[in-house]
Amino acid sequence: MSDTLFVISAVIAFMIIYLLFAAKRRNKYDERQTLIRNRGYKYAFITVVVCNLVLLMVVESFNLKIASAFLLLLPIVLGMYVAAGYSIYQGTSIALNAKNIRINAAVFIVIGILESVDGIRGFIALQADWEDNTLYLLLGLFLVGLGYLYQLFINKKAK
Amino acid sequence: MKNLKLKAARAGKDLSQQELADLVGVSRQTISAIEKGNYNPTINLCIRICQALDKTLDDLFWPN
Repeated sequence: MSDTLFVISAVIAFMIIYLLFAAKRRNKYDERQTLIRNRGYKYAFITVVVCNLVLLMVVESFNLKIASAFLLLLPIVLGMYVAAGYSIYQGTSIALNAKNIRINAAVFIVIGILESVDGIRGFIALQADWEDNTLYLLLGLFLVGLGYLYQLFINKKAK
Repeated sequence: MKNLKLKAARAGKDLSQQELADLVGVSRQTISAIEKGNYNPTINLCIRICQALDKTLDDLFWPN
């Protein structure tokens, strides 16, 4: 229970810090980018709703005991990956005033690798701890970093 | 439908997609999408493009 509370508090704290930071330096997107990104958010919302319904059905039908933090985070993280993936795929992930894109991509990849190692290690050891399962979800950060690099490569090629 | 008139006007001004994009305040991909006909710009963006290329809306965006 305390772990769950810790995760929820950490997520809320992160969001508050992010909003404060984002308010100072807001990314600028043009009209096409905004349109596509909004479509990505719509798909992310649908993903969250569908994922929640599927999880509810699975947990109720099979009477599975899944950690509440994992149940809470899985739809949110999947929704985040859908929004990020769609944005990267459509070439709208990089803002007009974006800086340090390569560093951002590298950070995503390094965090993704670190989290993946922890997650896979826990998965192999068959640990039922919430943190191993939750960290496994962050494997997608690695893919987001790769997506950024792919976007940079495409941009360079097009130029 | 491809917007070849925009592409020709841009080439006539000796501008790259990136340079035109910087002039009108959008991304290079947006200019590319307009030229390929994959995106219909708003009237505000059309006007900014026309001003940057010294053309009228009819010249660039009115279908033949």
